[in-house]
Amino acid sequence: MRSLLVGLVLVLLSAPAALAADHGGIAVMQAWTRASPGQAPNGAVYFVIRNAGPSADVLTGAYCEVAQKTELHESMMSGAMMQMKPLAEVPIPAGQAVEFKPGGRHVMLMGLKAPLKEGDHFPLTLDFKSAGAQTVEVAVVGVAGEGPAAMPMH
Amino acid sequence: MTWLQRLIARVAAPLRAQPALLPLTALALAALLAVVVLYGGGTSPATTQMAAAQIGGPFRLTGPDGRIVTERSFPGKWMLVFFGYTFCPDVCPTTMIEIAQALEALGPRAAEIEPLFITVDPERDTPKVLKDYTAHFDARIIGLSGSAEAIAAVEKAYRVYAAKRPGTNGAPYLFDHSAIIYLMNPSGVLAAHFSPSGSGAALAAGIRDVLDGKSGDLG
Repeated sequence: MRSLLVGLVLVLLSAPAALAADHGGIAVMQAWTRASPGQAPNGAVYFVIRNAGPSADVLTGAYCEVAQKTELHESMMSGAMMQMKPLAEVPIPAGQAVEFKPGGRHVMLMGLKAPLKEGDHFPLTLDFKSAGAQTVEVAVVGVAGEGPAAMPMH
Repeated sequence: MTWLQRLIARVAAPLRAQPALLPLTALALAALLAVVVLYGGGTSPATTQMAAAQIGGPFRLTGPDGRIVTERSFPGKWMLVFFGYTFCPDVCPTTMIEIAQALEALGPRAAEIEPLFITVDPERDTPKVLKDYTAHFDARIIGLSGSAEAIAAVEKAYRVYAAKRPGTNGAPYLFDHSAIIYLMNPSGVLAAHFSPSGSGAALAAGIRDVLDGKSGDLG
């Protein structure tokens, strides 16, 4: 029932999102995350945002129903120190692609309502200043997955 | 070497304003280069003898199933030590994958290694939570927790910095922490350290070189 509802919401959301993508030139691709290692309560979503339009846009936030809270984050190594800081916004320059990947920018899923399981999918909504809300499907790969097309380790 | 680039940038900035400083700066840079070369700052993954003497030492932590684990628990083995916590969504899992891949790539030689994942968050990372967590990457990785005092002591011994950072708007707290993979020889002395690179194959190659005595400067 829940997945049916999610699917319905997705269909409703994806139609205007696709229109916005045409007009704004923003496309979110290859959204993926790793399955939860055990009961680990947080996760990170990675993707590529391509801006094919003539003007710059700004990613201002993210929403995802699988977690209590969703934030834009960036992991940074400064020397031997690993720091993770929230990002208020991420500029998406015209004609460029911005990558969210392990060890760098990611959408942090804080307080997962249930562990993420390999093979599952869930919607993630990204808010852009010009292009508006864009909803994409996030593919859950294996715990040790390294990308959207990566094969499971086992 | 990003710190070096930053240093050079900082030195170079006032230079543009005052070209008269050029000879002095060149001298300073030469001195700096000498220090870097002498102390092996440019070589990776080997570390200096000075640092080796300072990093590592006794610890008393709690392993999976509640058993006490110390630096003497693995006689004859090399300890591969990494600090992190299970609430860490990005860098820690990525590093765990790298370590798991390295163990895989080392094949039978992985038997010479005891990989340890020490939590910086003992409040939430109980032995059971850690066992469940590490098993998802490689069952050979042993998760270690302990009392706040025991964890503080091992952090101090390994010169690990871990600072709790409160979450905003009711979000759970996170940590800023050192992300270095330490390789300790069977005598418990630091043989090499590695920064997470995302490549399990590169980590395995670095470990193999140290095991074979080709790298590491503690000979």
